[in-house]
Amino acid sequence: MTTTCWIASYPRSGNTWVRMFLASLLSGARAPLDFNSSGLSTPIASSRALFDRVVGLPSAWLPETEVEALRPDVDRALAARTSDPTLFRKVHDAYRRLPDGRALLGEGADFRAVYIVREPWDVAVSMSHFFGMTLDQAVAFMDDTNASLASNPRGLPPQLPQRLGRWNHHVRGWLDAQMPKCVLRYEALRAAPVDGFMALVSFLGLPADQETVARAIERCDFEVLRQQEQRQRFRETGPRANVFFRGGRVGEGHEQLSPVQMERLHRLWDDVERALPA
Amino acid sequence: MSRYCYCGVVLESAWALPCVPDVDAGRPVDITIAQGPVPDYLPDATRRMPTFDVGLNTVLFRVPSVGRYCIRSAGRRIDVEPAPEAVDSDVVLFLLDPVFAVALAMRGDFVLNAASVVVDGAVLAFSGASGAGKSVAAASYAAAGALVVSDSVLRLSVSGDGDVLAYPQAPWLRLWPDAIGRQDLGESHPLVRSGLGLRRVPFAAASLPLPLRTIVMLSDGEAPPEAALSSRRMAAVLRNSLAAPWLDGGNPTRIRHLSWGAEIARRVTFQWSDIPHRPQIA
Repeated sequence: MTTTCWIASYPRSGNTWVRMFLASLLSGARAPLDFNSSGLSTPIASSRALFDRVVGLPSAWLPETEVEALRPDVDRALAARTSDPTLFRKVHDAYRRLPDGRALLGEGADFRAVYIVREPWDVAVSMSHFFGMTLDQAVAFMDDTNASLASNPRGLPPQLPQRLGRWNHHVRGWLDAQMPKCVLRYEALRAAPVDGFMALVSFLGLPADQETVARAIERCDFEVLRQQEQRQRFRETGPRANVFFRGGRVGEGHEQLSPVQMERLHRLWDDVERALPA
Repeated sequence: MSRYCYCGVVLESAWALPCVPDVDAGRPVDITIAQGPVPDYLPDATRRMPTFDVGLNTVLFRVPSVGRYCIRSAGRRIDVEPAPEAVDSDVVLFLLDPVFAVALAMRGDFVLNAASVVVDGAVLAFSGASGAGKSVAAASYAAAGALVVSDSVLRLSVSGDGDVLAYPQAPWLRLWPDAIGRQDLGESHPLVRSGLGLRRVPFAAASLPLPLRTIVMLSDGEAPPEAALSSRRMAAVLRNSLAAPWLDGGNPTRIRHLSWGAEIARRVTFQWSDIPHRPQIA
């Protein structure tokens, strides 16, 4: 039975970097990674095309509640299709329960999660660039109980609606998910990537030593990906962003956010800080 | 029971199909549509998915809050049992698209998920994943005067001359408010389904089958580097077949479907194009 491993995060928190690392590690290749053909498929949980393909009905014609109710069945069907022991999938949705009590993103032995947390002030700066928001809008979005992605009643986004909720609730929801989890701090990964990714490798039970991990990290180094993006568009770049790999720096939020914005995000951070690994 | 012609196929239906042209009672019937009990599932299903079961010569669809549809007799009969809360227009909506497409596939037809228009006497079809902008692209031509051939169901066949023929679906395109506004297509168009913003916008339409000349694959990104290879074209055609979900996982009709894909890939011009208007993320 295939295990679904969610690579989960709030948007702009390092999800793509972790997936690029996994692709790099699992390929075993030495050449620089091609970000559009990494060799590792990580179909996003909210892919509309995938949903429609499995369900055989146009999701555009189903109310959001019915789409949500079908998503666990779609995930189960996708896992059943593969013969690989692990199916890695990207997800930004908050971990939550449907009205009938089922977990939207599964629970139990058939699931596991890698959850990446990034300090919210840096997330806000990154979101403002990626989604074309002001910093005020980004902070307000992260503090909004009703925040969601791809929810547009006037059009058809290529992804299904993804409820995020407040940033701290997103973190808490995933920390409480009933499945084996590996929680990665983005800042710790940036500071000591080999150590951080070794913990990930150990959690996933992948046979890799420090040298192999270091080599995989080199192949998907930020500068490598950024230079590649100067030659071709990364397919996950949003419509309002000029680039996807902007820099990923730690500390931008402290430089750019106002005291009022920082205070608002600190309230969210304080709610979860103690529950996170150091 | 009334008779209609939909995508070049004569339907005798117990359900009124208000958006589909009538035909004379004398035309031979291709598919009969009746109202009657439909089981919750197929006991002999060879494949069971969240919303459909596949049996040996039967496919059963379960559409939440709308009803169950059973396609039998190699696609010659469709039984419909509506949900108690269902409205007729919703029952017909699903009947004439995913259910009908599978019935056609069971009969040996190929159905491409494509919006299409007539350009210079031949059909230009836009295909691609959900939300790629197929109807939007077709609407940009229709608004400039091109006849509409299809919104989502493009039935194809091969003529004696070797042309791939495309059959007219309906005189409308289903568009979201953003697209309607961007193309200034007017207001007050009827909703496709209550509670959703999608609307049915009428256009002048083709009435006869025409040769399919070009398929434009709408995608997010560049054309595959080997776009010239027929295998890539064939893969794109098969991926965008409306019967693809039903055929996944093995099905005797799959072989015929594969050969169809190869024929279309060989006979039709392909282009790859970026999504015409990339929807907003948030």
